[in-house]
Amino acid sequence: MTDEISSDKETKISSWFNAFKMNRPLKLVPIFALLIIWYVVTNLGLVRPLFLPSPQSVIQSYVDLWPSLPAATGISLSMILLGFTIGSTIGVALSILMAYSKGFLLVFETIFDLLRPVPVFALIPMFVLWFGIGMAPQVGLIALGCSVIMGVTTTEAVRNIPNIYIQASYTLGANRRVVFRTIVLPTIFPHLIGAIRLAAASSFGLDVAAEFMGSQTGLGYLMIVQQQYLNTSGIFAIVILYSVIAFVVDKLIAMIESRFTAWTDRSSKNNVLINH
Amino acid sequence: MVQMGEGSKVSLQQIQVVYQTKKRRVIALQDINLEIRDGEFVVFIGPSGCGKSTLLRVIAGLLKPTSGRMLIDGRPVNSPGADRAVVFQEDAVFPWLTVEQNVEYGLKIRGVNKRERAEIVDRCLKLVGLTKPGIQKMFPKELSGGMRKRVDIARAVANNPDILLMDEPFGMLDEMTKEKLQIETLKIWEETKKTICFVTHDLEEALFLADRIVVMGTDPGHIHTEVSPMFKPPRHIDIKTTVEFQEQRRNLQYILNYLSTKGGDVND
Repeated sequence: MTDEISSDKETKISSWFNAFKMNRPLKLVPIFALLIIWYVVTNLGLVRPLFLPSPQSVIQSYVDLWPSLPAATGISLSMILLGFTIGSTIGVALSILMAYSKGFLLVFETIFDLLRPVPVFALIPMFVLWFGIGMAPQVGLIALGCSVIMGVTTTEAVRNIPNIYIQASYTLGANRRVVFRTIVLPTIFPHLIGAIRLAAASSFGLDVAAEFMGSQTGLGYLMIVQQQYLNTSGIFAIVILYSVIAFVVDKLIAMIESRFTAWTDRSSKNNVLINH
Repeated sequence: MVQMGEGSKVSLQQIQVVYQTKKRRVIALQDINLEIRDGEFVVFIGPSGCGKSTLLRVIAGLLKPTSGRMLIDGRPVNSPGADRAVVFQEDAVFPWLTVEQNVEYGLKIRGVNKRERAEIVDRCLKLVGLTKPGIQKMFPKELSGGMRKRVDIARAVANNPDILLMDEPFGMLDEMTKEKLQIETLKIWEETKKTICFVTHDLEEALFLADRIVVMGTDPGHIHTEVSPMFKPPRHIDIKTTVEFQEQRRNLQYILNYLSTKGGDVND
């Protein structure tokens, strides 16, 4: 890497960090407070380490677990990404087909309505039975959860497209295909991004649950192993790692969201409730 | 008199619109027969529920009549098309597109090239009085209601339709903006020679804009009578304060009062 690029990167990071420091010092206060309480409570021996390990031992766990962490993280993340992609695609595609075709609506609406209230986690034993132990049931579970979230949201979003835009489009010379591309997609997109954040968050949870039940690899499996050895600090370490990854993913999606939804007045509505 | 449908821009023949709800059958429009000449400015007025907006939607092709037929330039039509642009009462400007992208929407669908589109957008924004620098790249949420309505009109005019259908377009605007846009509308009409069908419940608006006023009544929605204002184009805004104008306004008010109180009796 040349100096120029690295220095450029450095200024970017430091300016981002400065902005973070300048704009959000108050937001960091509760976090630091929690950390301090955690430290004090555990180091004074107020809680048994089995129930709440000290911050130092959690850090030590990262060192101990280090050899197996990269591979486990990689496997869990790829599983999440795969399940999320497959599930979201199916959910969105089915809902749009349902909006456009009476046949699809007839077949899938009832099936969807029956499936929606079924707790996905309750299906884990069946998934293990059907797909065996390994990646397939995990990916399947994540995909199912995501498809339900994305499907329901897409259906709702399509239903809520203001009629007036579609009519205006037709009177300006559009046909069905043009209406889909220029009206349907842009109006449902902001709703979809919100659902994508929800689905992404859920897929982390689904992944952990799936790995608890039947898996030989991944972060969830690693967690179960720590549990068997009563290594609470190891569990804590993995939970925190999971959370950090989920947080970063959520922020990334939020960044994309604000880029594509600049036309809505959502951002200006954020503080309405607080200010009044 | 010319034969029905021949030589007319729009010819409505025995149009009937019936809504079937669970409990009852509502006749929204009945026995609508109307000829609109090319380049004519026709205003529809009437008490609420007389079906004037419904009629406009029929002409737009957004609503298929239950029976009867509509001819545009002598040919039967029953679907929307780029030859009939609509300016709705609601805010129909696409909020996810910039002002420029909104105005060129129809042109892009037709495959007009970029340079030509830019020219037309420029001309149409000027025509509706949107000359603020940088406005082309703005999003609708950054504009006032009156400016958004202007964008809406520019979008309709840019598509170069034969017929401009306006459904209470200024109903939601304040008096000042409304009057300004009435003047702009007349200017556009005089410059482009379009046929305009305009729905309103504002009598002064009707008298100021119209070559011909079609007065509609309720229960069921029907054409009650037609009025020709005595003011020939070019009309100036000052005519609104003349004695003749106010006299015609009063007469129209009498008819409307009669229609909204005794509307049901007319057909009995």
